Amino acid sequence: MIVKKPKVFITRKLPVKIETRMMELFDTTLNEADVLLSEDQLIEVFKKYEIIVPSIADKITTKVLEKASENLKLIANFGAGIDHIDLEAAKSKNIIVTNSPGLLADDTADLIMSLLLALPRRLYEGSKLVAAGNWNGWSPTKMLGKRIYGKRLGIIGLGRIGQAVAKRAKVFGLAIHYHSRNQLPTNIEDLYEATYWNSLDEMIKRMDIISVNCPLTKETKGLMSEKRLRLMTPDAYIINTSRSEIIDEKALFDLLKNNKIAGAGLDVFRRQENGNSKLLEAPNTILIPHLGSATIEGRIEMGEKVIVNIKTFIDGHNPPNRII
Amino acid sequence: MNKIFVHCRLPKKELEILKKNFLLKIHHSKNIVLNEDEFFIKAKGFNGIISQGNVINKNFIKANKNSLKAISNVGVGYDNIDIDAATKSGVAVFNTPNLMNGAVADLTLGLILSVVRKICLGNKFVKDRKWKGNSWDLFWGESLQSEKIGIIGLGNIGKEVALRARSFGLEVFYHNRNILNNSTEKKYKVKYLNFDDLISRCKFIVLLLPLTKESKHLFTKKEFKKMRKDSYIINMARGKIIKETDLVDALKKNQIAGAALDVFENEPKVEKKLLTLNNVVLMPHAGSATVIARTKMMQLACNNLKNFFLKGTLDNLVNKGFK
Repeated sequence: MIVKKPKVFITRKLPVKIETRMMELFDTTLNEADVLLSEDQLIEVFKKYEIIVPSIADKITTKVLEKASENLKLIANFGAGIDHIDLEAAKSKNIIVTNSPGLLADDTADLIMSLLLALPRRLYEGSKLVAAGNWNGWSPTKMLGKRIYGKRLGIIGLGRIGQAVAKRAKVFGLAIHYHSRNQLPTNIEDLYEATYWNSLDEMIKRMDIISVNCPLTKETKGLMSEKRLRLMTPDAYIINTSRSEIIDEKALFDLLKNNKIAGAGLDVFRRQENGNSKLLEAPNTILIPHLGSATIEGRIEMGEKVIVNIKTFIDGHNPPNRII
Repeated sequence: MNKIFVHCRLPKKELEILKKNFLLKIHHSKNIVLNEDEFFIKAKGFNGIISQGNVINKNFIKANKNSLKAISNVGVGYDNIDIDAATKSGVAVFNTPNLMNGAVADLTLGLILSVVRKICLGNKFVKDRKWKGNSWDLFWGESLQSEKIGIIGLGNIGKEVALRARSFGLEVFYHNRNILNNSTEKKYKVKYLNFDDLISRCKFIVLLLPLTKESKHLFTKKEFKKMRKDSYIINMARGKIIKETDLVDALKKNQIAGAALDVFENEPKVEKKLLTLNNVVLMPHAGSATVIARTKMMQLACNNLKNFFLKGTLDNLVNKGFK
C-alpha cells in the first residue's frame, strides 16, 4: 500500500542530519535561507501544508491559525517552550500541538553553571583584559573575584532544568534553596540537600545567587518584579535562562547601574526593534543570545523527537509529546 | 632583628605583625614583578624574602648564601625559585598549598564551560550590538554529558576538578607520574591512562601539573597532532608546559577545537596570534583569584616565614633536603 507522504514545512534551518531524514520520510519543504518568516508568509504556509515544524521565533498567532488550511492537522514544535503558539486558537481548529521537551536539561544546566561561575569569578572581564593585550602581570590583589564555595543558590522552579543545576551546584559547595508552587517530595529534596521556601520573598532576601528556571505562564510573568528584585542583597547575582518576561528589566537595569546588586547573567532579555537592549549598558552583566539549548547534540536530539511525533501521528497514534 | 624583603602587597594586619618582629623593606612597583636584574640589586643582603612569582635564580641565591635563610613564596607553584641552589646553599623555601584548591577547580570548570558553550563569544556578539536577528544558528556549543575529561597532574586541585566534572556527567581520567592507590581512584571515580592514551582519547585535557624540567614543553606540535580534532586543552598550571606557537598552529589548522588558558609561556606577554583566535578563552592567571583564597595565601606566606625565624618551625617547607 502506498500512502501519500504528508506535506511538511520546516520554518527554520535544522541540523543537516534531521533535515535529511525528514526529506526521506515526508514531502518536506525546507527554509534553506533560514530567514525568519513574517506573519503574512506564515499565513501562506499555514494555508498550504499539513504539518508545520515551527520554532521559538515564529509567532503562531490567532490570525495565522484562523487562516490555516483544513488539512493542517499537526504543529510539531521544535523546542520545549510553546508560548509562541496560540494554543486556544489551535484547539478550536482541532490542530494537535506537540513539543520536544526534556532532553535539554543537561545542556541548559551546563550553560547556567557557566554563567554562575563566570559572574563571581569575573571571567568575562578577565578574558577581555587579556584579549585586548592590556594585562600587565599576576598580582595577588588584582582581578579578585568571589569564592563560590559556601554560598547560597536560590532556584526558582526546581523542575528538570532546576534539578540538573542543583546536582552540579551542590558539588561546587553551594547550598541549594528553592521556591516552586509545590514542595517536592523529601526523597528529591534530600538528593540535593535542598531547602524549600514557601515564600519567594523570604528566599530572595537570603540568597547569594538566584537562578530563574520556571516556565513563563500567566502566574510567572513579572514574577521578579521591581519590589522583589529590590529584596536582593548588594552582593547577590541573578541568572535568567528561562524567559525575559519573568523579570522587570527596567528595574534590573537600575539596580545594576547603581550597584544595588552584584551582577546578572542573562540568556534571555527583551530586544528593541533595532536589536538593542538597555541592558547592553549595564555593568557586571553577561548577555548571551539565547544559547540555553544551543548544542549540536541537543539540537539533533530535539529533531529526533520532532520526527517521532510526526511519524507517530501519521501512523494514527497519539504523539508522545502532545500538548493539546 | 632579621631583615626581610617583601616583594608583594600584604594585608595590613600581617604587615603590622611582621613589622614588630622584623626589619622590613617593601618593594612598591607599578609593574609588581621585578625582573631578575632589578631583584638582584634590591633584594641583596636580606635574611628572608616574601616573594610572589618573581624569578629567584641560582646566581642570586649563591651571592646571598651568607645572609639568606628563607624564601616564602605566595603561591603553590615554586618553579620561579631555583630549588636545587636553595637546598645547596641552606635556604629554606616555603609555599602556600591547599588554600586555593576549590577556587582553581571552580575556574577550571568555568573556563571549560565558557569555551565549549561559546559564552565569551556570545556575550561579545551581543554587547557589540551585532545580535539583530534570531540566534538560532549561532554559537552552537557541545554537550558535556558522557564525554571524557583527562587531568594531567591529579593532585589536590585535580581531585576537586574531578569531583566537579563528574556532576556534569563527564567521565574522568588522569595521568600522573605515579598511579594513585585503588581507594583514592575509587573515591574520586578516576581512571588512570598513560599519557598518549589520555591525550588521544579525551575531549577535555586539563593541565594541573607543576612546571619541571620534564614538563616544560610537554605539549608541542607532536602532542597536538595526537589529540582529538574535537578536543580542548585547558591550562591552569604553568604557561611553559605548552609551546605557545605550536598551540596557535594547531588551533589555526583545526587540529584541535579550542583552548582555555589561565597561564602563558611568557606572561604577562601573550602570543599575539592567540589574541586573534575565536576558539580560545584567555584569563590573566586568575585561578586562585578570590578575595578569600588570596588573603589566606598571603597570611600563610607571612606565617611560614615568621614561624621559621621565631620558632624554627618548617611548616609548608618545599625543599626537605635543605640544611
